[in-house]
Amino acid sequence: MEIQELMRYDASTGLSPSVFPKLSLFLIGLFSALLIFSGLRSKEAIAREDRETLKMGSGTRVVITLIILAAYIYLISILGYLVATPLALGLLMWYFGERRWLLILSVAILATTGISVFFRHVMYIILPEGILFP
Amino acid sequence: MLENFQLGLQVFITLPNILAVFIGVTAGIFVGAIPGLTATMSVALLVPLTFTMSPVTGLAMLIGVYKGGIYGGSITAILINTPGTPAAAATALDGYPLAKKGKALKALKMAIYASVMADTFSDIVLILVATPLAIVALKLGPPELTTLLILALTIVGLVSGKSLVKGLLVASLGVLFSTVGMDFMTGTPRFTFDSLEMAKGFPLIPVLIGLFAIPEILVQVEEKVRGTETVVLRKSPREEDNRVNFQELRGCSKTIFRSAIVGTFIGAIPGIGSVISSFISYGMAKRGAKHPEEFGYGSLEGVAAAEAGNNAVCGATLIPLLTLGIPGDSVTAVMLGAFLIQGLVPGPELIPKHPDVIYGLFVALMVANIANFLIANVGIRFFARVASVSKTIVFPTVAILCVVGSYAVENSLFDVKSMLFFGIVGYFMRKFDFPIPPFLIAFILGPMVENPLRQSLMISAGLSIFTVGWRQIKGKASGP
Repeated sequence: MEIQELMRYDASTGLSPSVFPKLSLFLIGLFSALLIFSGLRSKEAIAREDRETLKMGSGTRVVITLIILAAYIYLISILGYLVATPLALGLLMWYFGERRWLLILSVAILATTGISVFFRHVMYIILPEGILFP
Repeated sequence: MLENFQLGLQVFITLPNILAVFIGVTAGIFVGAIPGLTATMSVALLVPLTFTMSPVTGLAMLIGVYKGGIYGGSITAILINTPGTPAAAATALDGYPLAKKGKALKALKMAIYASVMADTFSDIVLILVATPLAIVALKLGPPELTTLLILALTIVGLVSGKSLVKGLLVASLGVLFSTVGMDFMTGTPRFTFDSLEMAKGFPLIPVLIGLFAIPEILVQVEEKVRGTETVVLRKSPREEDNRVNFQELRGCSKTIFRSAIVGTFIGAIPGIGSVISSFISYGMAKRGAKHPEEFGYGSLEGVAAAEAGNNAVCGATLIPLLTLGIPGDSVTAVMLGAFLIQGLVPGPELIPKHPDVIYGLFVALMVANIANFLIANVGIRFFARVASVSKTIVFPTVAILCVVGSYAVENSLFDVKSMLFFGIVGYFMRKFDFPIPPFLIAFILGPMVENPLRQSLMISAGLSIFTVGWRQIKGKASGP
């Protein structure tokens, strides 16, 4: 039986390092199967799932936000924090629906410098400076 | 205990510490008042900022954020019927009707009194219970700790979700993610894909920032964000509607006391949390009230019950954390991370080993209550205005803070990528109605179970952990 093999004990090293990952994978499989089983049995649950898939409709906006964030993380290491942050922050605010340009500009600049000053002088952490502007 | 208190006072009473508590409480109320930003999220975002501070200062600030955040949620609950944090949902039931009657200030002040009184009660219980409990817990060896932690894992899996299977599934997933990295006993790499960065395993702080903050941002962006409702705090022309008089406070004192007991009890049990506590307290107050028909239509007692119920959880949730190392809810799971980056490992040895930090923290709890009372009273109007800050500014800024905060802990971009990854995981969990706390708690407890389990199996040369545990407890009970 799989579970017996899984818990096999080795006197020299104790429990094998693979036991916990295997055990949790086994449990994930078990509970997933239970979830699918109970989902198929209950009609009420099926109706609810339908509604939930409908709620997922606006996925593109989520994906675009994630792409902006991923691009920001990538650009930090190249352009550096001080350049990448106002760009990302401004873009995100615009994408979230803010259309007052002056506000976007001032928040982008103030937040970027504020965070930078706080990290540098209070926490003594230098945020990435990038490779373009050494 | 008394000399420990003296020590705590000596450690705590310095200007930076007191300042940290006041800043923490202000920030907490500020963030709590903005709908969509929860107390857990604000604590998670601030954890990276505390690790260069001394342990007491950093933890004191986070305690302040937590307490302030839980209270802050009631401001928008009362003024615009939108709970700033989920824990304030029960407050809106009676708070909003009161505000419509022009008694907004009265409701807000009652919320302050109830919150602070219940919170203080809860903190006193924590202080009285923690040390004796830790002394008992100290007698536990690896076998007993394993069984205890496994019990904690199951409690968390059971209580946190609407669906039992989903809670357990998510907890198993948390354990799986916790095994990523170099195995600590044999050095075997697990799920590292030959990457040196993965060998460290997933970093705790970025994981919890990702789980709690990113999903919130993504849920907000799903629909084109509309500007926030403007929140106006109208002062009533009748002076008596703007304050809580002594008779009213005395009338509610029984309710506050009862809710404080309920909240403390619920807080001490891992896995229930302040949302449920406030609803149970509200329900009990309604049943015990002289005028139950007023509940839901603007009963001051209802506001008092809900607010006392949710704030009373604050102190008590620290009991299992400080004595056994078990986080009782999502906020304490985040606090656990804050302890760990200070090099303090919550568990039975924490209080005996670091009495200065812990008693300093106890003093900080009390000072935070005073700070909460003062700042909330002085700043009511200001915080009400904060709630109208546009979401189009708040959420992008929070997103940037997530990235910078994750980077700050270890100056590593891998941490930032982990944060984003767990943000996506958290978003899908939220979308499909999987509870996040069991995942996080299992992620933290996974190694804590694995380590002593494997140690005790080595001690007992492969015998069952239960026999060894039983012998040890028996041996200690009958020993000198």
